[in-house]
Amino acid sequence: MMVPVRCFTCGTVVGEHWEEFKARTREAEEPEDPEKVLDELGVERHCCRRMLVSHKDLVDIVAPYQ
Amino acid sequence: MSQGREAKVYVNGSLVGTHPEPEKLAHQIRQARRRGDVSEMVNVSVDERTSEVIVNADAGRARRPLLVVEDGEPLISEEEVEALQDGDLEFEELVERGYVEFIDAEEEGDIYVAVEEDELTDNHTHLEIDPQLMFGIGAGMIPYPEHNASPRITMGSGMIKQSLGLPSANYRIRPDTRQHLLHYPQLSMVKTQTTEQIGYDDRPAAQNFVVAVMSYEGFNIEDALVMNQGSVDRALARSHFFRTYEGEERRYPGGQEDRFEIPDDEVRGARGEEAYTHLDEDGLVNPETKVDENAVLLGKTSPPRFLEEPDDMGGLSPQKRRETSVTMRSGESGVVDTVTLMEGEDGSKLSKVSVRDERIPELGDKFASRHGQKGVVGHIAPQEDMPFTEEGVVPDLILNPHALPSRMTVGHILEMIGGKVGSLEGRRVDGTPFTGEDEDKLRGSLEDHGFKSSGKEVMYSGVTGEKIEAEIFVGTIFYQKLYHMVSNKIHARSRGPVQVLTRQPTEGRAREGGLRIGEMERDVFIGHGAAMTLKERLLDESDREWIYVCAQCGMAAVENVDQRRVYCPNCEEETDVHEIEMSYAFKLLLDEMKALGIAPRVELEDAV
Amino acid sequence: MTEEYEVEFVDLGEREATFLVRPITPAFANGIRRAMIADVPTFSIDTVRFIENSSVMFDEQLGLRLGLVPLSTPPGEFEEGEEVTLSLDVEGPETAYSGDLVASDPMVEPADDNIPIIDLKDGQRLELEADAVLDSGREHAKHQGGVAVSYRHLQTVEVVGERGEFAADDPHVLRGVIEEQEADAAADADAQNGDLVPTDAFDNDLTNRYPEKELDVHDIEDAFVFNVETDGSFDVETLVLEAVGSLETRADELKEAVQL
Repeated sequence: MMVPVRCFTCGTVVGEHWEEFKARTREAEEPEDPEKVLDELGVERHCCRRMLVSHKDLVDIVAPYQ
Repeated sequence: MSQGREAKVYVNGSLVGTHPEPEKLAHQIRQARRRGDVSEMVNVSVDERTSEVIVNADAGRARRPLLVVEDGEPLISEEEVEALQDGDLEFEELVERGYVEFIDAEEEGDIYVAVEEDELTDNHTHLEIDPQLMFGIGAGMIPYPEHNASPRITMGSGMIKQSLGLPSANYRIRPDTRQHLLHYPQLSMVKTQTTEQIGYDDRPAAQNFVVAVMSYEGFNIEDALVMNQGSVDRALARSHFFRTYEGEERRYPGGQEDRFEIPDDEVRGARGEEAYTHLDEDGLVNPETKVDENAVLLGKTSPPRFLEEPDDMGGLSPQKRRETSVTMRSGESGVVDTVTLMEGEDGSKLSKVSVRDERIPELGDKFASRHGQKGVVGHIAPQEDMPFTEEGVVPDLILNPHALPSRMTVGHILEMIGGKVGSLEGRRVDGTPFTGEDEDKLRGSLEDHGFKSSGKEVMYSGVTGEKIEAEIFVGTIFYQKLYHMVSNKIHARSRGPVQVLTRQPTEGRAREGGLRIGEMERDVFIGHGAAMTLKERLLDESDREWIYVCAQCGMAAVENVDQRRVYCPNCEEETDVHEIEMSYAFKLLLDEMKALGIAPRVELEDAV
Repeated sequence: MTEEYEVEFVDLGEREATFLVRPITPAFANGIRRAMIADVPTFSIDTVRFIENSSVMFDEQLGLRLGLVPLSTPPGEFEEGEEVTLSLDVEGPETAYSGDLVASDPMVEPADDNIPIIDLKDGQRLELEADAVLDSGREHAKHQGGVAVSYRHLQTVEVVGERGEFAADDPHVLRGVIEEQEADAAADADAQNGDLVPTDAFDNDLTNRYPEKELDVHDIEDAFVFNVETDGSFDVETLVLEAVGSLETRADELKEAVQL
């Protein structure tokens, strides 16, 4: 649903980086390279990186039906 | 005269005539089909041995599309391919123009198909559109299936259908009897073209796990899996299970009806006050109430079955209402999610209560990758006990290496490498059959990011702290939680309800049933010579009864409890009546025979 | 019996550090690592009383998200089992962040302010009161103070010859920290023997640092390089000191229990 607060594997807090990651790689007019954005955000380990790369935000999909 | 040498022509199984040149006829039909003069639904095939031309146009044949090739060149041109890509041309157009035709199983025997354009020769008749089209939807979801043994693909396709995920966007409103929801579904790191085509990314149904392939203290033998307690605490593979219960205020002929209310003490079968404490005044439970097994969800009373029944004094007395509340299934518990009041089919009041239960992965829950590698959680190890890499990465899941060689699921290994590369590069890797990303390129990417191309990493044991001598293969793979969860299956019974007819234990977990000692299990006991154990299982612990039998006539005797006497109604004697041990099923057999007018007489002998 | 440990920092920040310790046995290093993960207590929300939750996620899902928010834990101020309350009140259309949590005790506050808790749509509201408890990582992963704590042997690279001209051009991947022993053969002009060099300085590929050489890598037996990161509950120094302290406390308890 929402981005998980911490990386499942190691426990680093990754939730705080989601909005910037989404804005720069998906929503921007000129989407940047996700690898670079992750490096700049300081998300180092591949376990933390997959949390952001493979996240699918479902809140907006589910919200209309309540 | 010359008809014996002419080929017979069959249309849809019926003989319609003969033709002297079967090949020419078939060719003409095919040309007509491509022109549009004959329907595209028609397929024609020539059987040389029996000299027949078989034309099929009926419904129900499985067919596949192929590009038409003439003189070693596909009929479709480059510009048309571009127009297709741009969206200016539709696939149906290609079929109408005769560039693509559908071939059924019969006609497939007459054609020569090339897989790639460069291998076309003058002898070829068709060209594959894309080899990945040999897979259907289920198998198309699996990455790198061309590297897996086919039975594993079959199993993987089946298990994809059992995975938990986001069932529908309106899952909160739908009153399905049973429903599941995965809390944090993720997009697969390695995807195929089929993933996009079926819209799987809109309703993902699994998560990417970091998997290490090694033995762990013997807990992952025989396909068991070891999970990381820390990951589980952080909501990995967490799901909810919903169950909807229904209760209706039925109306009976005669004007009586059920009522939703808190049953008072007068009602027959009332459970006592504490059972109804969390019900509201209208008999419905409030949302967000914690409920245990057998807790009352809807307090309901029904009118008595018979208006008046004879009572002890010989008169008739009015019967009280019965308690027919809707309760939680035994063995299940949870939190009430929603309570809905609505009108039923005949205008009666209907109420649906949906209860949700959070399911955190525990020992016995089943997980599977998309390659037919299923397994049950065998151990959940604390994070500090898990082996760790130099970066501090600890696997979410530890898979036993014995799962791989005999099953030959190399696609699983490739997906692990692909998933790791995808995580490092911040992108999703393409694992489409036959056109997926090349393995060597993926391994090269691993090296570019500072990891060994073999995918193995140096790990240290979390328990002893020493370096593990072998390097461990670590990767990221899309794992699914399947709906076979242990809390839905665990069942125990020592004694419990019995069936009315046979007085044997009931069947099924929902009815608190017993486990059947079947025919093969009976053979096992016989093989061990454990005769008394067999008798215990089949008689003492099942439907043993002590029946009074009259020794003279061999029929069952009657017991009058009040007068404390046992007598045989035939012989009108009390002296020779004995209590015999038999199964109730046998007594039932005797009763059924009596109903047929046969007198089954039991001949008694002295016990040895 | 006291030992002298040589500690050298390769990298030190507020929330992360890489440092070398020697001489130390693998068992002791592992003990410190495990203590950092499982034994150093931090505050985390444990009980939540929902006054209103009309959001898309269920109470129990939000409860877990709140529990995973790292809360600052000043060392020595609280005892294990003590509770502190926080509250949250956000109305849609807005996103509730960890920074919206209002702490009753200013010492125990969210360590990061912009962790999204839940997206609230128009008409939705989240109002709750939560109790944070001081407990250890052993109990639940939300109380883990150290994230991705690991160590590795300090390694040395030995040049055993020149790479043959027909040898393959493959990279020699190594991850960790090396102690320079072959400064002359290194491609870096400033290299000196005894330097501690993290491998990502040369992209984890030894052929970048020692081109055209054939290499042998050895572990230095009693030297370990720790890689420690915290989630924000406290800084790295506190984490390591508390971890070592917890080992000492337990050793003392054992000593007392064993004495007759």
